[in-house]
Amino acid sequence: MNVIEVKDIVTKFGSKIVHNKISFSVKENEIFAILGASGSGKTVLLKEIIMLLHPNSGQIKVLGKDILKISYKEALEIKKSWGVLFQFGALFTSLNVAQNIALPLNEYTNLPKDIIDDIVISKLKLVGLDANVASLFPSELSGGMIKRVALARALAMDPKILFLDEPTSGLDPVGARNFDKLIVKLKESLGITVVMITHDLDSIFSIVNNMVILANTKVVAKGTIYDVLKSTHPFVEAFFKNEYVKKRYLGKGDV
Amino acid sequence: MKNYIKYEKSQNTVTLFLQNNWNINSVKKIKKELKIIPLAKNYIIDASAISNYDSAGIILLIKIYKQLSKNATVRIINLNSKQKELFNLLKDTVGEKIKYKYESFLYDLGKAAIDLLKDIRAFFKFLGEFSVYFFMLFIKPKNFRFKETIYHIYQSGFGAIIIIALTTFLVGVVIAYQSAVQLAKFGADIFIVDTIGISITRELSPMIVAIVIAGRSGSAYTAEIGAMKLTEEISAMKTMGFEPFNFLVIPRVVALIISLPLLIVLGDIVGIYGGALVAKMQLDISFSQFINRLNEVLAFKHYYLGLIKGPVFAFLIAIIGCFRGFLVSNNTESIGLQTTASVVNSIFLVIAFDALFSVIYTELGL
Repeated sequence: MNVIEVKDIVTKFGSKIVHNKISFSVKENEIFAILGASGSGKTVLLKEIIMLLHPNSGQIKVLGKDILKISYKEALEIKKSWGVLFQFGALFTSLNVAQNIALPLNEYTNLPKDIIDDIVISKLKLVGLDANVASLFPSELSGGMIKRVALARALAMDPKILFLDEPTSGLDPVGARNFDKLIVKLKESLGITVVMITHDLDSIFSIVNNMVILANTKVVAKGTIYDVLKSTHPFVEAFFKNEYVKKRYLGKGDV
Repeated sequence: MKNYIKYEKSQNTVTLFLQNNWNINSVKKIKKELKIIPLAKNYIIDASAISNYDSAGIILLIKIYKQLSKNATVRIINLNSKQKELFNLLKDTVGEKIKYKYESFLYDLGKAAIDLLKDIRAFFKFLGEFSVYFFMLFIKPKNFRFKETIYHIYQSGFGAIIIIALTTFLVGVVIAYQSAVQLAKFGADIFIVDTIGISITRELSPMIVAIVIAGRSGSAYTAEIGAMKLTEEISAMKTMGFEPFNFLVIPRVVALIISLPLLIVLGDIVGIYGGALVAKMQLDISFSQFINRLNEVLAFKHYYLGLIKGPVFAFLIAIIGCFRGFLVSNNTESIGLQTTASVVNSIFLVIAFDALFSVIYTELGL
């Protein structure tokens, strides 16, 4: 089953064309990556899928519903069933960590405070943070901690889809790999579908199931890493077929 | 009341049969059913009939498991593989309490007082640094940012012309209306010229202009510098060896010291014009009569005593605007707080210094 279906998306900013008929789909319970050079419209595409921007034309289906043509109520239902991790966390600075994570729970459920506290602590520990962090404010956290708290907030409602915008950027290498492991664990145990924008080759080669590569307003390659490596597009060549990748991930042989 | 947990008791063992949904929508109800679980030495928890689950439900299950394990042996059976995975993933995450920090009223009161003193101390430090960098400019005039200063004169002076003209015009109109009624009672119509001329030039125009500029430019200075602090632009400047005082503070202060007196001149003219308009309509005093009388009664001193206040008010507004901008800490909320504080502080100081000027002028017999 396809959780997300993007069909013939066209986006223009003034006379500048960002996307020219982009189509792809994301299957249930996979880890899907959106790749591309900077300026290729990855973040714009993600923002269109999470209803922050509106494409000029095309169709986007999330969980079977056309999000460009749905009512406010249906949109709210969909918004409750996804979690979004922004690149710089986007925690609410006026709320402390516990309040940040508890916000969707407080707004959308009628759970008593002690259960909410249990869920908050559980999410915090799940993303590798200590319970003491709960009473701190975002301004007191480091960049990596902000990212983890933001992930905990995105996970608060057990989302069906998790959107991640460059989740491992700004993390140390060990932290980044732990983050990858956590994403895989969540995917397997909660059945989450993960859609992420990433440049992290480690993540791409180790955890990503399927991907789509954007360049020059078009989709230039999609599918598994093996499908993508068959492409001869210059961006794919530059990104995947350089010396570093050959040595590090593909053995020394020819690709 | 047994929708989610059913139990069977045999000898020392209680078997709990979990059923229906164990998810975020049901944990509240499940929690109510927990009270019926009887005491025993051994528990077996059978999860085979759970139909729908999520992490909230599993967290509750782990809590029950941990609670019962304190005084008995507990076994969980028939979790399917995914549930087991989630259970193991979350097992170590459950059980700690959030420690909330609450402070007493006295603590908050004391903290507010100390913070106020710290702010005042920091302000004098800022003032000291400003003086140092300002007088250094006399030794090294090359460091004066001429272009920035012109830009800020344009922004805070030229940009304020319309709003200043409008407010002082209305103040002139209001003063004239109020006095016209009173003066007409005594047949002292012509004295309206004295009232308007002296009150506008000596008191009202400087004060109104300063208050409008505090709200307009003082707040802008705080927000601009505060945003630069948030985005680490100020740190970047410092590491490159640029002194923020030379780049940000001195141009703004000098610009306002130049533009605020000019705006007061504008305010004087437009305010008196507003008054003259009302005098003509209400009391039939023609413009030429008005000007003649103004020449007789409005001594030059009233005009410059008002104008002298300009640079002082300008300095207060600009220095507080910049100081509050530098106090912005690394969260978005503090920009709002500091901007509010900047406007409130500078309006208060403008009024306080205006009172001080009145006392000084009176004592000096001016």
